[in-house]
Amino acid sequence: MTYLHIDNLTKRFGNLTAVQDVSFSVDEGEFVTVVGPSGCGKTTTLRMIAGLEEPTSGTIRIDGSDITSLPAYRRDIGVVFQDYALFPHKTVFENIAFGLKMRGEDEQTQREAVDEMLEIIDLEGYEDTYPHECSGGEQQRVAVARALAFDPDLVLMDEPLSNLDKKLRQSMRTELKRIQAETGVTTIYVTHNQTEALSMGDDIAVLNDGQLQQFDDPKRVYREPEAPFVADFLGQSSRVDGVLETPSRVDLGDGNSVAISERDGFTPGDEVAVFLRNELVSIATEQPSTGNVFEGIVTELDYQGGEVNYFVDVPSLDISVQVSTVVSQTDSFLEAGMDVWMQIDPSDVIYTRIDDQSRTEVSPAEAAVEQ
Amino acid sequence: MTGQWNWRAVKLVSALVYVSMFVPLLVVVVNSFHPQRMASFPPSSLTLHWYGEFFADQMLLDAVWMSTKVGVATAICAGAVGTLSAMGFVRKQFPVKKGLVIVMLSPMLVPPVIVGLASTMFFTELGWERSILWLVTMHTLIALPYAFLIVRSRLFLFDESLEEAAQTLGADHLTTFREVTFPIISPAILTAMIISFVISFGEFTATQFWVSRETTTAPVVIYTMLETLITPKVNVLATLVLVITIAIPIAGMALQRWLASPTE
Ligand SMILES: Nc1ncnc2c1ncn2[C@@H]1O[C@H](COP(=O)(O)OP(=O)(O)OP(=O)(O)O)[C@@H](O)[C@H]1O
Ligand SMILES: [Mg+2]
Repeated sequence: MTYLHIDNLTKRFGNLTAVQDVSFSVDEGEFVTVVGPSGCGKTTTLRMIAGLEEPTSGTIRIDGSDITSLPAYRRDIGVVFQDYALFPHKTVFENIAFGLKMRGEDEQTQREAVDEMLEIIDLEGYEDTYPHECSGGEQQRVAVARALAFDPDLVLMDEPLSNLDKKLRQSMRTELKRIQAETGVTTIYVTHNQTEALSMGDDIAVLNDGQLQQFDDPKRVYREPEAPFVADFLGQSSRVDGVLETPSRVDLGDGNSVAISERDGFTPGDEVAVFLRNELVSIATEQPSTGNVFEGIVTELDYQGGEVNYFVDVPSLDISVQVSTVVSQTDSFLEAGMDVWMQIDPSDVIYTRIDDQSRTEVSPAEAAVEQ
Repeated sequence: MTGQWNWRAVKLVSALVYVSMFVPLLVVVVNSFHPQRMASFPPSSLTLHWYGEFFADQMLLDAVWMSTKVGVATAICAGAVGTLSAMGFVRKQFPVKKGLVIVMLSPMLVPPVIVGLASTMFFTELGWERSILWLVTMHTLIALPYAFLIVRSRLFLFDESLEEAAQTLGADHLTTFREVTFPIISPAILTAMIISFVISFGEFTATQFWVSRETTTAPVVIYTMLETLITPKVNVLATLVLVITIAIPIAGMALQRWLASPTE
């Protein structure tokens, strides 16, 4: 059941189009992540939904009713800001109760709701502390509680974990997902972290340059990207362009080809970009008997604790692939200059149609590997 | 070595500046307790005689009371107008904003004697009699640039996402100001009000054009007394003006501490 419906949302700042014709729908209770590089329009999209930015055109509907022209304070949308924006002069209690107070709820109702929220965020007994007395993680949870306490239709979060250190971020991800599951509130979560987007979202919206590239569940966004940008952005990979020869094989030129698994909507003759994801490629000294196999030469290796990154040149495809493998103490390392075999399963080969826009640009992943 | 010498020189010069500022003030205060009419310094003994005479002189008491009333009214007006105009200048975009800032600040730039003269000619032309309202209006104008600058610099630092947060939680613009903006910037508004009070309370150059017999203020009286009759009561008055000018900011700072305590 579609709950939030965004239709052709566009925002221009002078000559700059920050968000262009973005449309998507979110079901009730769903957790949607919005991901994309810096400046792609994530915050602007979120702010338009919240009512903090007026769209140049397009409509926003919640539960069937058009809220596009409602001011922020008339929408029932909770927002968790990147810097939390907790009221410094109010206690944790007053912060969390603010939305209820604005709705004219009495003390008793406020207290019950705040108590419930404090239990959910695991900060019982913090009522009378001030935000500056809380740690970053605690402030973060208070901000979430404040956005949820008045029982909003929708909660928006703009990179809420970006100010936390890596370890805390990890545990807060789980925490946020738990809170969302517990309250069942429809949530849109902005991040520029691919892993976060993939691991947290029921659905993912991938934005680039103000445009929605794909809106799908994580598996499809990862496995069946609809644009080269999506394949590139979600994970490290090496790109080779080619032409679909049969529904299950791509001709990569110079007599090379790669077996793929069939996907709907592709016909032989289509120009496609093939992506070999680093984490899906394996490396061997003996020639493997199955899958796609390429010859390569190790150019460099990089130890990272129990893991080794090999940089392997594949001359036939004119690419360099980075492969990570876990090694135990007894394993012998490969060395620079060694001839190796690279293997990837046809079902692990990711490919996407080339659109006009991406034909000319060098993919960031390729550029990164070449360095 | 030279660095150390430079540093010593800086300390010495600062000390001299402060000494030359505070010693004359100290002389005035001490002389208010001086037994003789023609004061020789230092006094051989101290007396409260002149204080007794001062508090018996209704005209002097009226002047101090007038200065206090005008100062408080000015603090309130300049605080309010300064806050509103600072909000407008920081938050709203409008044409000729830069030019308007200069207009806002001009009372600070024009010599007070000119402000006094010009406004007097103007008001007289309009047929407006000298009154306490006239004083408050003009003192507000003089104090306004300072109040404006103080509140504006606080607003530049203000995190607007706090207001946006309040709005997403259901607060309209007025409620947002009352619940969020005002409490957070109130220490700056208080500072603006204290400065406005102090400016008004001590203003002499322009004020001498604006007072009438009924609305004369303490600084004007000090000047007139020196011109016309030599009485040590003027030292008492000066001491009192000094005490009020120092006591108000200190009281204000204490209040500010108290206001700001939860957010520190
Ligand atoms: N108020 C504004 N005035 C002018 N341009 C703006 C404004 N807000 C955003 N932009 C521009 O719109 C574009 C999109 O900005 P936005 O903040 O939505 O990006 P973002 O995806 O959230 O980026 P980040 O990951 O860095 O937060 C950027 O080019 C930005 O410079
Ligand atoms: Mg952003």
